[in-house]
Amino acid sequence: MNKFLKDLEKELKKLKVNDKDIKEILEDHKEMIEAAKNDGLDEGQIEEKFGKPETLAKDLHDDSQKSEGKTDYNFSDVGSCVKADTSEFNLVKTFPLISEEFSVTVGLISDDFGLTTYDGESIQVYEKKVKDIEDYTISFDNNELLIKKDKKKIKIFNFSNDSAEFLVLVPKGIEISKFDFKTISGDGNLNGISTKNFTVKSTSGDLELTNVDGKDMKFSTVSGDIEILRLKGDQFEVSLVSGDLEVKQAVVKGNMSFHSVSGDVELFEVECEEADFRTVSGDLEGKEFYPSQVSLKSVSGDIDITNRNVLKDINVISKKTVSGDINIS
Amino acid sequence: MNAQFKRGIVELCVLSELVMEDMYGYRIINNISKDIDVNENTIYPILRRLTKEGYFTTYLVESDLGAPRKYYKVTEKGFNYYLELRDSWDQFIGGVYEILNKGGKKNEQISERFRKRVKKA
Repeated sequence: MNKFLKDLEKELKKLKVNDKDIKEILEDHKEMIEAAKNDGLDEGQIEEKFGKPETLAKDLHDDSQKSEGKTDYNFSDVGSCVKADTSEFNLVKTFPLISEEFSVTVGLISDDFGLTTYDGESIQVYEKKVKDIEDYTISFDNNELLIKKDKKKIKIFNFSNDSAEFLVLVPKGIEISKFDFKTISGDGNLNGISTKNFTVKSTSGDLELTNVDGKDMKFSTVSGDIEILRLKGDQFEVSLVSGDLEVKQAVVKGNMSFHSVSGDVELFEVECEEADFRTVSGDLEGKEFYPSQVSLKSVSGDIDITNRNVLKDINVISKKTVSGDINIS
Repeated sequence: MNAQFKRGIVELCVLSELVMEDMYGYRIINNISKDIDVNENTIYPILRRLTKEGYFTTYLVESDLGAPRKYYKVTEKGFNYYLELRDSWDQFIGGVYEILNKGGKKNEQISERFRKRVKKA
């Protein structure tokens, strides 16, 4: 089996994998081959079990290319095969997409809104439990998708509990130049959006965002909560009154700023340049949160950061607070 | 089978094995290759990548039979990822079976239906 190790080393060198990685890979294989021998496998069986060194080297090389630099979350192949569940929805409109880019503007009151990407060519708009579709503008003009509840038709005394829901499917991999989402009490669930300019405003509606790739992002809510899973971007700004924000797994190239009255911010595995937190009584709790610098302005709000990697320095650039504090451990 | 697709499935299997207990590389390979046709050169790159991405950590355990062995352990992040992936898988495979079962669940049923249909035509 020494030949296997030698060939593997040769292939890895050919692909210019760095020496440290090569050393580790060879050590791992030595150990695994030894374990296989102890298990009573003969040379032939081991060869069959370990396969070709060329394929292995190539796979390892491809993977190392992918994870170079900052974390680039690769969404699972299986996950991308899952189709958005439209079974309970009715198709309202389909818009063929001609250009490479388009913008989205959504203005709703109490209806829930969902958007996700799919393996298709056109934009599809679905609805569920909508009483009268004539109350809405749903159009696609000048490369702008517009979904809006018409103002003049808003009934002041609308006691309906049965809130309606919209679902929009957009083709995978197409960049949305501008995404503007406004809601009063309806919830938003947005998945797989890649956009340059992302603005979200909600009064009491909750927002759930997954797999967001946005250059410039501005979110604001009054009492609605925001939950974000996996985000990449350049700038991130959020403003909360009493709603809470939770961000898991984010890489922001530039700054993140959080403004809140009493809303709390929870961050898990987040990287950014400067993190600026302004609050009255809200707290910011970060686990595996790595900004290069932080600033706090609060009355009683705290910043608590607990990180495993203590080698990465976090500079406190300003701290103005009455009874709050910054703890980094 | 499409290589990318297979890798996705093997990734789920590796996670599932390690969620049950910490294991060393060869044992994971052995356990998985018992049930599905896959070899080391598919599994090892997955172990390495998921370790790099923080889904696994590793530690060494002395072995009576030679060199110490590298054990892989699932982190909290890895566990959450497993749940998510498993969910996607269940949904996907559920969808596939919805389609397949439309024509009947058993081979006899499917053949019977198909023969009838061909005869008609």
